[in-house]
Amino acid sequence: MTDNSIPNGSSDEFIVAGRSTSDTSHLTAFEDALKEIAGASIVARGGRPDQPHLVVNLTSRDAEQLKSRFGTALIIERNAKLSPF
Amino acid sequence: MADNNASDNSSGKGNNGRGNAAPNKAEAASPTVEPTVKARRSRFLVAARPLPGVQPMAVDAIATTLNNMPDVQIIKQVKPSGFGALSAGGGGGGMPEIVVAEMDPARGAALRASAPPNVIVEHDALLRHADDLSMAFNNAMTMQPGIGIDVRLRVVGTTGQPLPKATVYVYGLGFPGQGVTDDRGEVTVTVFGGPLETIQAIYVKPSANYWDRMFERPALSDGVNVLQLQPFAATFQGFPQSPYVGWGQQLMKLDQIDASLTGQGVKVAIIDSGCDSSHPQLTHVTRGMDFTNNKDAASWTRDTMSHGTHCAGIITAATSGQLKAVRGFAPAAEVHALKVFPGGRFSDLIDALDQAIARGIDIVNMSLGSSEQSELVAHKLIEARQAGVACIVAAGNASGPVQFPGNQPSVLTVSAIGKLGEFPDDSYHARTVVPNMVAGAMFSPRFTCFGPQIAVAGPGVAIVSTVPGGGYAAWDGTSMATPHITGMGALLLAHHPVFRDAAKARNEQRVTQLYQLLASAGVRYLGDPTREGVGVPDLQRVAGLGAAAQSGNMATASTAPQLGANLSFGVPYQGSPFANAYLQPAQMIHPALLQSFLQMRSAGLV
Repeated sequence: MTDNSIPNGSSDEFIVAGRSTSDTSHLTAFEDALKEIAGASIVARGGRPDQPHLVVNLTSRDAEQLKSRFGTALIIERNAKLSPF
Repeated sequence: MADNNASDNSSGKGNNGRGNAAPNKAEAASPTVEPTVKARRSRFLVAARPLPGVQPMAVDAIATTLNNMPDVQIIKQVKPSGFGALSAGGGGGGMPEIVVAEMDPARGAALRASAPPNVIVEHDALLRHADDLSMAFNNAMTMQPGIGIDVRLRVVGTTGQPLPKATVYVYGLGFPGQGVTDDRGEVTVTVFGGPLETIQAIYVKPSANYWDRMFERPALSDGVNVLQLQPFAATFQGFPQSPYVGWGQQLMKLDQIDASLTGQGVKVAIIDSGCDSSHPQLTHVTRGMDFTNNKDAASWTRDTMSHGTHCAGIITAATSGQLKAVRGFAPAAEVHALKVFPGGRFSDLIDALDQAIARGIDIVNMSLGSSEQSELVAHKLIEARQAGVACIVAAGNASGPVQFPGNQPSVLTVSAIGKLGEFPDDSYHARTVVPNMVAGAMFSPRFTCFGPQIAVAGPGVAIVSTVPGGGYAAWDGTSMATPHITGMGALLLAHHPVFRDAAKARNEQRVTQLYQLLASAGVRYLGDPTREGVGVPDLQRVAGLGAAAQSGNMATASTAPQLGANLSFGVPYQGSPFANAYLQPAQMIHPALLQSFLQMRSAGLV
């Protein structure tokens, strides 16, 4: 089963990608913003060259703040675990 | 629940058409078997029920009746005192005398059901400490070291040979205990919460080639308790050397299409836990990628969960020398194992789908999901469909609404369906049956997710397929239902005329046509579209596929049952609510009539 919601204080994986595949500038800005957040880190860079995404470690609180800042340009969602059925 | 023992090595399966196999040579070598664990006897309270105007039954009459039953033992008689005066309306007679008797649980249940109105029969239930009732993770009883009970177990086959690597779960009053058998088939499981008599059940899941088994209320001793399992070979004649077609493949008529239809030319991806391509029936699976290991091109063959290998067998298992145990739908398809388990997340699924698009995959099996949603995965699924990649997705096993991504409109979502008589009644598979969801021989298993997103149903209970190490296992799940549909989809893409020539181009239209073709072949068994969609696709209902009455390399009536054959495990579901629910003759087509119809159909007469 998937993870349960986590407390604000502990970090979890989030996946971040642009809403528009052609514009990667917002993802670059997101990376810059991430550097300002203590404890945040990039776990992996993935996706096709024309559709890059980031997998990052964040607290839920930080994720919400970043969503409010970048939400119109970027999709920021929990990188939830999958389950075999 | 009937208990299997050494003197009944076919577990009552001798008359089912597949269970008449003689034990194989290895099984027959040892003539003696240790006694196996049987169901524990239960205590029942039997007393007269005071009824106005009815003469209460005398306790002596009750005791005499019980004494005349050879399988019932009277333990004691209890004379309650004092309650009569306290109870409202209590007469001078007070509480009736109670007879405490020990008997088989089934006997007790029968006695209770047949008792006259003036007799009370009830289970003498074990009392629990009040703390037990409120036990939870945040209020768990603290167990002193040393007060746990060690349950010593040995798991054996029908002739007493040890079965190593079997996982054993022991359920008592506290948390369940778990262990894996060693080379001698032995394991000691420690459980907490009460004495041996409080053990409610033991579940044994073999590593391969045997049915699992649930031992309810086992009568355990302090010594080694022997638990006996039944091999598949006792049920399926000659397994795994003889040709065998799973009940699901039969339901979808895989055994009745032309043998030349093998899925050649179609690319299938299985996004799962990898695939053990060293399995003799899966050696043709040579392509894959491991997204749990930096997209490694080799480690996808290490399937530590067995899940992907099981799905792969349903889709593509091929005859290999003497091994013909599982007939995959598309043994000549080009299969790509895209490994995301263990530990897979949405990002891995996106990467795997990207890989499927890049590799020009025709159809993807996704026996996976999440209770959470992902906008990014949803977008990727749309992109895959637009690229001509058909994604067949399991609905989920949460007994609730269809889970993500099965709830997305871009995919074809599959629920699970089961068939009575295809598994032993003391196996865990039998626990998936819900009496009010049985229709004739078919049933909707309790675990399957449901909802308007269900497009079709696939066979998903007691599905025998390949597992790592070269063996076979019978599993349940929408995960097992989905590869049936993926396999059939691969066959249609490879061989149906609608996908020839220009229509072969990978695009969204082709995916839509495939989904429509699968749906058009659906046969409804349950009458509830939220649980079965349009039903289970039937290859013989697909016009133009080149159906034949019998294929050359498939099982015949001597080794596998035909539709309408009386499948059973001897005395299935005795005493259960669905005792008479399986294969009602009136609901079946006579095999001879069906055969005639198929012959006429082959000849183009109907």
